[in-house]
Amino acid sequence: MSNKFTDKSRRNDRIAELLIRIGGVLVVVSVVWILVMISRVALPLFYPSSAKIAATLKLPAGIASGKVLAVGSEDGLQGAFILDESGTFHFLKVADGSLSASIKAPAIPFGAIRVASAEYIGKSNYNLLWDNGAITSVKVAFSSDKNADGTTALTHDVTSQEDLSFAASSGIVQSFARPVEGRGAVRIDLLAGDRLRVTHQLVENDLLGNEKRSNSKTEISDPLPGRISAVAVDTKGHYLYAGTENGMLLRWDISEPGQVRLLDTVQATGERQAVTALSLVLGDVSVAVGDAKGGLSTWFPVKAPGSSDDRRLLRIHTLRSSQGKMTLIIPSPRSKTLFSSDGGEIHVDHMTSERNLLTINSGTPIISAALSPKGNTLSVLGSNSTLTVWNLDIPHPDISFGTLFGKVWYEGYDKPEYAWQSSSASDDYEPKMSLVPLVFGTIKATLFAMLFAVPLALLAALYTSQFMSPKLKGRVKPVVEIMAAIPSVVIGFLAGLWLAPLIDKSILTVFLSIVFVPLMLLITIFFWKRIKTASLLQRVTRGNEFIAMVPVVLLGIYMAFLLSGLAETSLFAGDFKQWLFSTLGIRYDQRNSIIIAIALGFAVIPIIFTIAEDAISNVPRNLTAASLALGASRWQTAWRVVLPSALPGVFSAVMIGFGRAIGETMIVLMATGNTPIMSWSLFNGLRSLSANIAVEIPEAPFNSSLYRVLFLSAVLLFIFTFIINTVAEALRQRFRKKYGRY
Amino acid sequence: MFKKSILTAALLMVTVVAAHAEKTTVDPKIKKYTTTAGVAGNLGSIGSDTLNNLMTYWAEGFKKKYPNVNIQIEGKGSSTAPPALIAGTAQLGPMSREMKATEIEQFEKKYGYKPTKIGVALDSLAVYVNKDNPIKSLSLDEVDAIFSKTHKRGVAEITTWGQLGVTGKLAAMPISLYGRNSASGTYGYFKEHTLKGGDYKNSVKEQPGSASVVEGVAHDIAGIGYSGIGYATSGVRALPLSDKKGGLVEAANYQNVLSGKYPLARMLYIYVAKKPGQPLPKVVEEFLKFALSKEGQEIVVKDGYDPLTAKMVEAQLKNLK
Repeated sequence: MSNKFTDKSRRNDRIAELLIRIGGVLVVVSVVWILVMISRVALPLFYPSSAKIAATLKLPAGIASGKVLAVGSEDGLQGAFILDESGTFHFLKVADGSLSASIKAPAIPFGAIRVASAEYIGKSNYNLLWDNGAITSVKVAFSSDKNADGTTALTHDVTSQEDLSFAASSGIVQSFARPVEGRGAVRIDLLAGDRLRVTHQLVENDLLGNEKRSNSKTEISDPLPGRISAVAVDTKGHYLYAGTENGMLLRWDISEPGQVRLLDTVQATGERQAVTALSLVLGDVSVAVGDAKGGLSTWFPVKAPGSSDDRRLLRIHTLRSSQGKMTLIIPSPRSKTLFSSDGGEIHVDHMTSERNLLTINSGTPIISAALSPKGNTLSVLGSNSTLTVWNLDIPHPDISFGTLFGKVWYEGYDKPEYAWQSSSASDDYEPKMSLVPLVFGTIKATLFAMLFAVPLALLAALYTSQFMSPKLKGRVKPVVEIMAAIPSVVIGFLAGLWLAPLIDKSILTVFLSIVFVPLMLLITIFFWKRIKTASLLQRVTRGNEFIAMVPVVLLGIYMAFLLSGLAETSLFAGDFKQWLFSTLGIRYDQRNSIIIAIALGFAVIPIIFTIAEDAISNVPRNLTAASLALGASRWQTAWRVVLPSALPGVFSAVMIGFGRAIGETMIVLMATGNTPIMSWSLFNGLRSLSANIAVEIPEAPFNSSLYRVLFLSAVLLFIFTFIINTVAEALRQRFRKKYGRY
Repeated sequence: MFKKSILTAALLMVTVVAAHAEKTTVDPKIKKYTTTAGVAGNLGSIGSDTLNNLMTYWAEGFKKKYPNVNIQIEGKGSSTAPPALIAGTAQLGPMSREMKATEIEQFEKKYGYKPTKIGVALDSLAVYVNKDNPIKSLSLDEVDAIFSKTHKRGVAEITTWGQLGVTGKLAAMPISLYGRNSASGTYGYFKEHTLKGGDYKNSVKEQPGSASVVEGVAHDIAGIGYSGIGYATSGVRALPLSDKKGGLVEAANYQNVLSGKYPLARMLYIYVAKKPGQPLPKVVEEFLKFALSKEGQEIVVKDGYDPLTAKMVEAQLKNLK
């Protein structure tokens, strides 16, 4: 019978052991699995770019490479086209190289015979400059659709854009035409003899609704520092850029009809080599400059030091330094990526991240090249009468180690900065995704919360376990543990909407309380022996002393409150926050780190308290008894005997609290303004990694750079907590060896 | 100069008075909603927080007509609408800004056609200050100088209320900034139109919803924030705005929105996935028709936004066909 019983219990033991082991292994496996899963989403950020040839097409018979004015391709990799001198677009099928259609540009101006040059102005629009100096603009609609039977059908159309046409004019070398929002159009001509002319063609509606057209011509009269070698105009027709043969870069404001204002003249190249290619980067803020020695850099106007709003062109990013003469710069229509060519190869670089993404070599000298409307295919016209269509795979050009963790000089900023501002309502936005302010915010929130919570929780644990009467302890502990059950969103809500305005109103009281409450306690303790004999206080038994202290603490806060008004008027000129701002230059924000410290501290106190209290209570009774018997006081026993023995447990309590504070999301989200500020000031807010993930993940387009960066920040958080827990566990083991031998 | 400012002040008074005098009414030419048979099923809406209350009210009204319809509404921000439409977790995507080209592309990649945009209400995106703030009006140039770190409108940085001409206790106080988080269409719209595509200062407190922006400003005397006019409360005041500094200021009222004088007037949209040539699912179509009916537009007024005119409604209904 008894044998049977022990057998049975042994078997049960084995089953239990097995189950626990499986459970443990499962936990480890799932944690590793989670890490692998989030890393797998983040990893493609660092995948290399690639380009594959989709097709090499022969040009239609009778058209030599030199006669081709523009090339283009369609996003679906099904079609490509060329524009020849007669103004005809020839659409080619990528699949077999056959000619799908030839469409002549509509609305050929009177007297024009052939097209002198064509300029791509974005959104599938081409400006054609005819041999008589007239300009017309056409839109090329070109797309592919899958038919029901699996074949692809190409649709192509060339339509005239009438609001962007200009009459004939003579002596023109190069021309640009731009629509001016709501006002008509502008034409910029480079004339023979290095003259630049701006012609506004204005359309105004008077009060009666009649259309009134007027022209205003202005020739630039500023003396030029050298012969013009490259010209560029932004898409809105506001700024005109010119590069010269001795490497100068000039910028004019041409936004006002009839007025041309020279804004900048700067040396753009290192050894005064000629500027050979100019192009605006997507968004019209930066201008890319290519020179005769193959240098590629981007420039934008920056506030000159000392002046209030005078902005001067400055070299911001240097992308390439030495190759052949830069002949072509093509900005991507979707990102700040630049495609540049020295006639032999095409280099792909990203402006913000300064990453050299790719070099495309098609083997023959390049005459011209163009990107498809969405920028995912590239068509290259070679000198051997071929048109090569490349399929581009450039996954996340804007992300590099430098943009994530380093200072970056973003467009429009006065200096390089760490910044987090990930999105905007426009496509030409330069996303700012530096993780540094977020990591900083996480560390700041955790640190302040721990400064608030650790002393309170540990001293409370020591008092509760060592000095409080067991009956009260039995009540206090569950109450504190219930605190842990309050959802963090409730704490965050209260902190943001109730505590923040309250502290805002009484910030000085808070500070004075830090002085007055301990002061009052000390005074009371000093007189304790004398006032203890009072009949009311005699009822306070051993272990319940803290009840007598409650009124003292309240009195301390009340005194701080009374004095704060006095201090404010006498010391801080009537308003403490005002004084902070005007004297010390510190801004007081309603949602600040004090609120976070208190709210987040409130959330971790129960955890630290419970675990620490358990650890301290578990110190063997015989140790305290021996200490007391040897004549040590209760305090000496608690401080010198109990606490060191419980140190491993107390330490893990703090560390678990730390881990909780780092990952806490809702409180930080709701109680701070989520301001990505990098300052240790108590009086401003912060933005933490976890809150940032919660705020931005619902809007992040699936598999976009932002989406992956958010996952990367999750990996970072994971690594943080992993390191902290590992270090904590290692230290705990050491402490246990050192102190925990009883 | 002095004369001009008097004139401006007088005009301001007139507009303020006018704003209080005239109550916004729905265009009587808009047709009443007529119920049809066979409308039932589930309807999900994910998107704009600006439109959240409005969607809820519409859903309530719609459910009264069709008790068998079950509607779920989630409003975290306009940027959450395109992913939800693409993933198919919602049939309605309310947005307070237009979709970006990249969002439309992603939509097209999934469905093979472009999303359909239906304008459902007008909003005068308002700049709010605390009700005790004496400031009269602002120009967008100044608002840019207050909110942005790029100052694309060319006015130098403004940090205290005194720089805006406020006198008294508030003058030396730093301006406390409240804004929406980046998922919000209002965030994007404000960035595009007021900041001219620039960047917000780091010190703008990002709030998860329009209501908390207004709440923040209501409890912060030095506060300033932006959100849809529908969230205005008694604790805040929507400032009349002008575009350029020194320009004519216009109050955020219906007349100025319709005439285009108020510089931050915008349309609020609901995006749907509608295959060209095919009708929408019945329940989706009827919901949109309801929103664009007389009842629907009366709800718009009740929620504090501005209704469409009959002509606009006509144009939007065409998009449904």
